[in-house]
Amino acid sequence: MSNTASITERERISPPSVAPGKGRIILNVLGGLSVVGKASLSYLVLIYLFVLVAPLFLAHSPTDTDPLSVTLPASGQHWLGTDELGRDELARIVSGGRITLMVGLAAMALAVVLGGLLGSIAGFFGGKTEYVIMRLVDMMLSIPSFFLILIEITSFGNSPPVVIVAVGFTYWPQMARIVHAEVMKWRDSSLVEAETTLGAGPWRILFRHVVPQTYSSIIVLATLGIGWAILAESGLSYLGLGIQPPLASWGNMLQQSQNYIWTAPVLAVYPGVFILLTVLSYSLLGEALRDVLDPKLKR
Amino acid sequence: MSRYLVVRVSQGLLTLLLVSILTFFLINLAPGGPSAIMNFQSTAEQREALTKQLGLDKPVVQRYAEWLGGAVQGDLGNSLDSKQPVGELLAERFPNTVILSAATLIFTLMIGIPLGVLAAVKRGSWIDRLITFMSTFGMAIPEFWLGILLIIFFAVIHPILPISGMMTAGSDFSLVDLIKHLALPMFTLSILMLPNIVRFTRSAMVDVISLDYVRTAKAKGLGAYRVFFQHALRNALVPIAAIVGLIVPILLGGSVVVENVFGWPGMGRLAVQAATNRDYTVVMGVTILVGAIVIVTNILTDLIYTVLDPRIRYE
Amino acid sequence: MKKSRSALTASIAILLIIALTLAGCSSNSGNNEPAASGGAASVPASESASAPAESEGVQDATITLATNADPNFNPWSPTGFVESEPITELLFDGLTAWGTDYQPIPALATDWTPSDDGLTWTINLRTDVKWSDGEPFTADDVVYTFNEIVLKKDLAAANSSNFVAVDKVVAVSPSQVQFVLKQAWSSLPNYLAWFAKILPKHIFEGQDPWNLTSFNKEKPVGTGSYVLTKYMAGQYVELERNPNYFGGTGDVAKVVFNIVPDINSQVAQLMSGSLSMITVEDPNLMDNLKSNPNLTVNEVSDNNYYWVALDQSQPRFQDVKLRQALLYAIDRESIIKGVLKGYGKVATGPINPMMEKFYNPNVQTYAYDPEKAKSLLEEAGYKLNSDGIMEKDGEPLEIDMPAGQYGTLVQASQLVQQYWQKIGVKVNLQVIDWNSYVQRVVSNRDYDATLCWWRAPVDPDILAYYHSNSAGTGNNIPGYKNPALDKLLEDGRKAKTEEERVKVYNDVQTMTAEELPYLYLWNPTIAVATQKNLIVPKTTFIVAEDHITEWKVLK
Repeated sequence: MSNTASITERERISPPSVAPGKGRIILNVLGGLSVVGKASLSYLVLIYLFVLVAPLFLAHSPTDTDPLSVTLPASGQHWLGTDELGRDELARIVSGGRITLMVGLAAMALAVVLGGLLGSIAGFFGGKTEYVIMRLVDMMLSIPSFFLILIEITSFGNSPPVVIVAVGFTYWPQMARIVHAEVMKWRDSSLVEAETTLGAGPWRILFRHVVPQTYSSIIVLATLGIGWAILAESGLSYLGLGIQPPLASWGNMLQQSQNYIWTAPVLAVYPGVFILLTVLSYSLLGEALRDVLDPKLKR
Repeated sequence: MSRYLVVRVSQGLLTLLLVSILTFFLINLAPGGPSAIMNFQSTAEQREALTKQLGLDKPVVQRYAEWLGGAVQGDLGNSLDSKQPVGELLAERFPNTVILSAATLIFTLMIGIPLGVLAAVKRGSWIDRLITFMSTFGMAIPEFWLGILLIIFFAVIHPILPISGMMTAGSDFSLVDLIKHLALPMFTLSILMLPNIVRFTRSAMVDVISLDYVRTAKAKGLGAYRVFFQHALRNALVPIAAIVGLIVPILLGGSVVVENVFGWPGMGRLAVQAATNRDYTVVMGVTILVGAIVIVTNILTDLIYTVLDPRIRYE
Repeated sequence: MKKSRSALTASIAILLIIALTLAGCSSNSGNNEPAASGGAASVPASESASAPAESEGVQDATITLATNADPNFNPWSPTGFVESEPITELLFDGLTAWGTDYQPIPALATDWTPSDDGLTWTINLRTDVKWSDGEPFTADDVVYTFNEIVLKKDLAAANSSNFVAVDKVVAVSPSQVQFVLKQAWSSLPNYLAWFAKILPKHIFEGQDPWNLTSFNKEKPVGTGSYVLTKYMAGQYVELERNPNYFGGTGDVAKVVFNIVPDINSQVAQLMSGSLSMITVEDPNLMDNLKSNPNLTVNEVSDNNYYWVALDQSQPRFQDVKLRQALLYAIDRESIIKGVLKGYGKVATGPINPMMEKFYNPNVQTYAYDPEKAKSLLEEAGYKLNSDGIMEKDGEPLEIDMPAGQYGTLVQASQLVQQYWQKIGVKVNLQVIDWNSYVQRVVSNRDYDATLCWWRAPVDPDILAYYHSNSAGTGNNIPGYKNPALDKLLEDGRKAKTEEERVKVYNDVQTMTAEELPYLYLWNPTIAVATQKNLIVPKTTFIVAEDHITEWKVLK
């Protein structure tokens, strides 16, 4: 393990807080969030509600083209105007948002599961298992993620599941590294010893007792990571490798807008602003969560 | 120490080998094929002839073995597209990426370290919060979107800076010309890099400031600036130097998009071109080179670490 | 420890030095090369040349054009055709070239005559032509280019499938060649003007023409009006006037091709004056450029038509009623008016109206009529099912439509998808990258419908795209098979007089309009935008390049 790792880890690792009842914790954590954290959380809740509920009220479909009313400016009919094929921009933003937010969540869920699983196994069992897994992690971390995704997407095509897997797959090593470090601290703790004496099997100890201790780190890292995944999808879309039309995503809307920077530059603004706000909120929320969950770091 | 180096280097080589296997099989199994074959107007006869010419009728495993055989002797093969040796293509493009990355790194270190130090010193104040917020903000901007906005501004609204390329076509090299062309891609890439540097510096400084001897120095009545610059910053430099190793992969990844947005003739553009053209040998070449750079940087970083901080030793 | 530390410091220092040298090297090479090639000296020369008081123009002008990727200087290379053609057009000559009326005019050939049976063309060559390395150009070069490169099946040269009718080329004398054909082909002189450049035998003999990177990527030798003086990979290509060019010289002394991948950047550079001329295919940009007082925008027709191919190896698409219904369902007028901003015309068939002599306007047309489309589908046996999808014998009309990421194909495919869904056809649009698209559609013919375009020489001979022989393997993408059309196309190739040809191709257009082997969409109008002070013939970019000696550069 290199020393470079320990710096980043030091930032995140903290002694676990004692665990009270579940519902209480959530309330405590949310209540303890800073103002910025609460604002970010509210924005995120609103944007999810917006993309889920808005389609019920919107007058336009996101796929209905109309060649005779392309790139119209905002009006009472089309609140954000129309895009290059005459589709309602607001309806596109909503349906694109669904896809983008879903990709972000799903990719991160994949990374959490994969990274968490491998990281905790490596950290808990040690030995050869640990060596193999952690060398794999090192390897994954030493290829710049963009190159890796580029190759994955050109290889397997760019349907939403492939994009999700490609993005999620590049984030799991970081997750694994954090979980590994956290779990390792518990490997020889009195808690594990006690459980072993009581006759619990190693897997049971690992998943019932040790892994829960890493939740706070995972939550923080995953929150930050969702934003990263959304950015990654939009970057892929820029290269023509992300989610494909006729499905809209904020990323591919941005990519399409490039052809209209002379005639309708505003098409590049809407999706960009939504990506920016969403990623920013995830990052701020992640930081606020860290302050609450790892109070030692709040200095 | 030397044993440690041997282990690290051989681990690095093993990593490269695995990366090469993964990449080779992935791209070869990818749908589509090299642009020469996948020409819309080509006939079945032409496609067959070209497949044979490029040796793609051979099994993938055999082709990998041949590629590996060449690679260990330093021959990365020829581009399927232009037939130029891949090594030559990389040598052509790599320096351009180095120029962009180095300029960005210097620029961001020059701005990022003072900002990070300032944030750490004024920890908890509005300055700290502002700096931290700005860096979070910077990380949340899609870099290519920023690129497009800059292009809209500098092309459509106020054309004072070139938006593409590395030098004015047909003109001789001049530093001013290069700097002008460098301005927009470097700025865009900096927005990606700056937050990382600011954060690392801040947290490294915070660590150091809370150390006892800094407190002692302060208590002895030494001036605040002297304490920070003579004692704290020097110690904080250790982790800051180390982060360069963490930053290189981010820099290389970021340059892929930025080079493509601004038509910068570097490795990132070469990589994307090669991937779209399914120029298998060039994709392999770029991947191996980038992988090697990252591995070497990581090893070097660890070594720099020991040099700057004699307490750390590797067995 | 101490010792290894200093060794370490040293090695880090060395690395730093290497990095700096690398950076320094690239700037040095940028600095030295122009001086070595003499390019640096020509810049001040051109400036001083513009000083004399000749009011009409600049004598030794430098103009800057653009291309979108690194070129390959071998005009027959199977790769990099699009980015290379604007450059190879100036470096090399064909036997014929395009006139501004798109008729073949003499280039390396002085005249050409077919034999009575149409199976041989005798072509006389110029005798005063030299390659840019000083060697004389002879019939041997023509023979070598065709027999050893174009007609060599194993090499699969770009565009070589255009010459399948040619059996071989024979040198009669150093200044005369004969093209021996397998079947009569009246369009040969036209196709010889279509990127069919002649290469120097003395350089290629005994070499693999695609692997000769010293020629293809570094130092091409041509007969063309310009010679390569400098190439900075990924940045620009610089050409200078060929002083020995047989076609004389014009105002332009130096042509620099800036490598700019992105059309937005090209437009920005044109507006700021750093590019002299670009081709614009995107209708969105046209009005923008037209309103710029510093630019001239020449709208030109391009021999190009967009189409939808329906896979006619499937019985359902063999029903002409279904094909007609699907065309009636697309509102081409509105697409042209709205999305193409009026820069295009509804296509009626494979022959572009720009070929005035051959174009037949009196054919069946398919103005937008969704009701008619539905009734035609009903005639073909389809009925709306409970899901609102047309259905025949329990089979819903569901169409898989791959679209390649190239130009406006994705947008256009989305429009077609929406129109078809309105008449109850389910369309699964799948956007894929270009190479995968070509593999799927062209190589595997694995699609139901797809939208693309054909661009061909300005010539009515369309056999390659419609003959049953090229169904499945060649350019007959939809796999349309019709013996009557085959016969007409063969007759067209054999026709000796223009009158005969006009008649045959009128019939061809009547038939294609009724039968719809492809669903014809539109003929796009493109534009060539130049700085006001650059006067070029009003024609496409490539044809204008053939006439570069006529360009005028005003002060």
